[in-house]
Amino acid sequence: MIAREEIAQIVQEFETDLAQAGSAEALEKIRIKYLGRKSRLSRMFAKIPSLPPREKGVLGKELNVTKQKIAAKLEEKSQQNAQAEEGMDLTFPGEKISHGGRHLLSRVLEDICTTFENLGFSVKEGAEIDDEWHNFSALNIPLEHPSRDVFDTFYLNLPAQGKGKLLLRSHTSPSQIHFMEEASPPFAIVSPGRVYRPDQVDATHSFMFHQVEGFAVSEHIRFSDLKGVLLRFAKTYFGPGVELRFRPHFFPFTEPSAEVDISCFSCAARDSDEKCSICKGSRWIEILGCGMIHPHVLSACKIDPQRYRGFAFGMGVERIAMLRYRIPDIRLFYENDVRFLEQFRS
Amino acid sequence: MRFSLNFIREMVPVSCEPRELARKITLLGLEVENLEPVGDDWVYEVEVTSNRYDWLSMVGLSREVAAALGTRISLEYPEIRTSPSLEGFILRIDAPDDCPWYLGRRITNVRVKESSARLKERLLHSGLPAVNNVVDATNYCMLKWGTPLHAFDADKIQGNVTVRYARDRESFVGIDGKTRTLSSQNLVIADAERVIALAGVMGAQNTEVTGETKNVFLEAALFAPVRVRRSRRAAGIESESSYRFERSVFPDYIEYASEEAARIIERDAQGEFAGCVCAGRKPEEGKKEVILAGEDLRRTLGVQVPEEEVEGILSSLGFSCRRNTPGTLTVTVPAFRLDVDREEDLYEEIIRVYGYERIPATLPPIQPGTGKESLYSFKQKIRVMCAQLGFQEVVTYSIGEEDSLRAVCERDPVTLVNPLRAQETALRTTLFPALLQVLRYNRNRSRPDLSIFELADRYGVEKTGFSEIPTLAFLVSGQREEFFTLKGALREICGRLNIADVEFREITRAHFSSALELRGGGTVLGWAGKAGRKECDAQGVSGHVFYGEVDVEALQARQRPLRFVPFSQYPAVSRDVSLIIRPPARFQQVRVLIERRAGSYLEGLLVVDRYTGKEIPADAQAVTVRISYQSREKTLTSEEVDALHTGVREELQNQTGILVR
Repeated sequence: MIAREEIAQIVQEFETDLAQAGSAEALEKIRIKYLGRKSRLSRMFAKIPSLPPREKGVLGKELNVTKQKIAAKLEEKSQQNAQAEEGMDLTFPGEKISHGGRHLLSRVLEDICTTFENLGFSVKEGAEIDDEWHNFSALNIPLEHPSRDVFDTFYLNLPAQGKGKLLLRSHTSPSQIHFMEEASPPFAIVSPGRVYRPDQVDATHSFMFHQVEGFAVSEHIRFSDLKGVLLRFAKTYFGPGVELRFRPHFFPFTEPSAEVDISCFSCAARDSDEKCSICKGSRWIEILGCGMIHPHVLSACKIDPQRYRGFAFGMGVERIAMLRYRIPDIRLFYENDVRFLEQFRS
Repeated sequence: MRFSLNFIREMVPVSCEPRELARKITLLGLEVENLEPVGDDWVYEVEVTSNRYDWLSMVGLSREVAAALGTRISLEYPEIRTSPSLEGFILRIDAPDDCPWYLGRRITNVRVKESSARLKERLLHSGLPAVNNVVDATNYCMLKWGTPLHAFDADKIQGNVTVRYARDRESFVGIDGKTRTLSSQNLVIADAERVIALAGVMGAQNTEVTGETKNVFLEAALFAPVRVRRSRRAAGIESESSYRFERSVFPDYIEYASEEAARIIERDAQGEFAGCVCAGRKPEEGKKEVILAGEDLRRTLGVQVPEEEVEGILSSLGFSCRRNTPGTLTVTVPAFRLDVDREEDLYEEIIRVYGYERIPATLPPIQPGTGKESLYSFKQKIRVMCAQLGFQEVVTYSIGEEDSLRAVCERDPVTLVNPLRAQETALRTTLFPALLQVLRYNRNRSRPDLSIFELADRYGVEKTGFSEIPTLAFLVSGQREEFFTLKGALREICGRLNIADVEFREITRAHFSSALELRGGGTVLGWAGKAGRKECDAQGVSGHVFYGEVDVEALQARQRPLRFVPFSQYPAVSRDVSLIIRPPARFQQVRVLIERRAGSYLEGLLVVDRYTGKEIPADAQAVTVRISYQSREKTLTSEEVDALHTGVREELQNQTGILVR
């Protein structure tokens, strides 16, 4: 039999033996049979020196290759066997890991505050029970004036104090007054919290909701700074592609005042002519109100309006959360359906 | 506010496309909320902010449109007739502070019928109904000039007319047919016998112009904004008229509106002008001048608007400017701009025309805060902690129902003067009912068991007034053992905050069948317990409910910085002891005793098994406690551990109510 045919025969026999080997011991036996000292391959190696020089190299190379092939196949089979014994079916579903989480509003509120904290603002909360002076008068809202109508208010059965009747604050702007009464400029503050208005409850109205108020006062604050801060906020929070539009507006506590719209992220993403359900086709979505703090407000807090200027802004947290997470109904926030809460765990 | 483009076109040529006009006036601050074509007209729905009384008139809106288009309005002022005086008719003002000026005209022999198509269209497109040619003339002039008018059937007025405060419990039937009882809050127009109008709000039915009316008395007057506001609120009416009076009317236009309405009635109803009567006088408004410094404008806005451009903008809005010392202008405010008083008002006028988009975006140099942990950041930390401990945060209403609050909490709640709904009448003294409600809501949706928390304020009436206390509340439902999840969470929170001397004490608490007080740092931090059956049943909740409240500010005050505590290098060895505990003995005794006996060798103790049921007395519990012994100095030998453990067992054995097995 010539050498090449013998090698082919050995390989064929090895394949048959290997296919039948189930255990580690069987494999070891096969290893000894084909690669051991007494194996046919070893005997063929032993014959090499007696061959004519022309054939020596060719056969030697072929024997080595075969030996390596057999060793590799043995190793592969041995690993397969190990997996069959130790391995698992990993295609079963992952377990439902159900831990707690924060409410979406906590997260949105924190995200908003953090954006401003990164610009150097500090966070300071205010109380919810307040008086007429802080909620209205100090903010340049006369008690008997139509400018008060948007701030419909819950009054409390508590004896009035020096600063008027007690109420549940109807916006977070009174925090501005409380802070400015105590502090001297410069400062930059954001103040988040719950506010209350006797609004009939529907998909977009709630008698309790959250706002974030922001304000900064120094000798050098300008309207352009307000623009820069809000632009940075919008790009951080809604994405670098959004643009802002400032529309003149009226708030008693700021002058000049503006309402701020962001470019509709939904339209931009779809780029279609179909009327967008988020911006109603206008391409702009109102997100907040702002302006330069009215001199009367600074004076009410004993801050010299000749020397200091400030800006202020305020936004509704639910509204922003609804826009960003496409939540259709404000009541979902307070119903606390676990199926809602679990979607936004953080 | 709705307006018709054709009405505006009577005063200003509109060259641009209607949608483009909407965009332009929106950017000027007159936000167009809706725009639709109606026939050959366009109807704009705009938001009028409370400072711009003048935008409640077509004249004012036309001025704004003209400014947006860079043009001027052309306004025809009717020639005012001041004679003849009405003979034998006395008009008296008894409330000059609230009605400084009243002007009456009499038009006789009118023929009341439908108005012309044009007049009707003007009204309808501005959202007002067409009534008849007399009433429509008054409404048309109100729309145009912004000054409300009222037409009486002159023959129904009995005797002289007085402007006075209503008498207590005086009755008033409006043209809407509804009866209202008045008080001295209401300013009225009265004849010799009765009230014929609620001043500035609504006319009375008794003098209404009808198809039979022959002679008309036309009222034009100035009523004080606050009086009209109080009066209409007291009467519970809001009208086009009161809406305008509350926001101010421009006195100069009262005469024009009155005159033009009279002329329309004369023309359309073929009436004859019979004379006029006047009481009080038009208030004199001084000329308003504001000094505008270019440098202050730049300092406030952050942009340099060239002086020529400032002058151009202001003059397009009807202001006139006079150059003063270099860099300042003396600006004369047009009389109709009652809302402009000071420099800042001018800044807004300038910038809204100049364009907010032309202001650059800059970032202010802000001094960073002190770094002291605020209550806000502490609360955020607690929220994250509770979530990590497996609790889901909820957000519920701070306002609850007074009776259900009183049913679970002894504290007096602060009640609302003007609640919106019957289920929200008082500020909550405890978060318990709200969290129970969340449990019930989710149980109805096949989520039987919850571990939830909320961090919000609770409130109460105090001797000093009221309190508002940031509170961390937990609610857990499920098996009996779930209470120890809650207790464990409280201990873990205190541990993470490194609060000293944390302990739980058994207390009795109304509405809870058993309860513990959580103490730490020498003070009470909160409590937790098992809700009473009655209280849960009242809310329709079955099963075990565990609830607790912690005072967040107390937690923050008692937290201490974390410091490394060295631990033993030597192995711990544990031994179990099985006991039966029977009341009045409590597990607390077992713990105290083990702690005392094992002393510094006690590494920890753990309840590894708890059992009640057959084989032991009904009120007793079988428990297995795993005690870990360890030394800081050496490896304890088996004999040493056995000696310690035997000591513990013997001591336990000597306690009444505790049986060592």
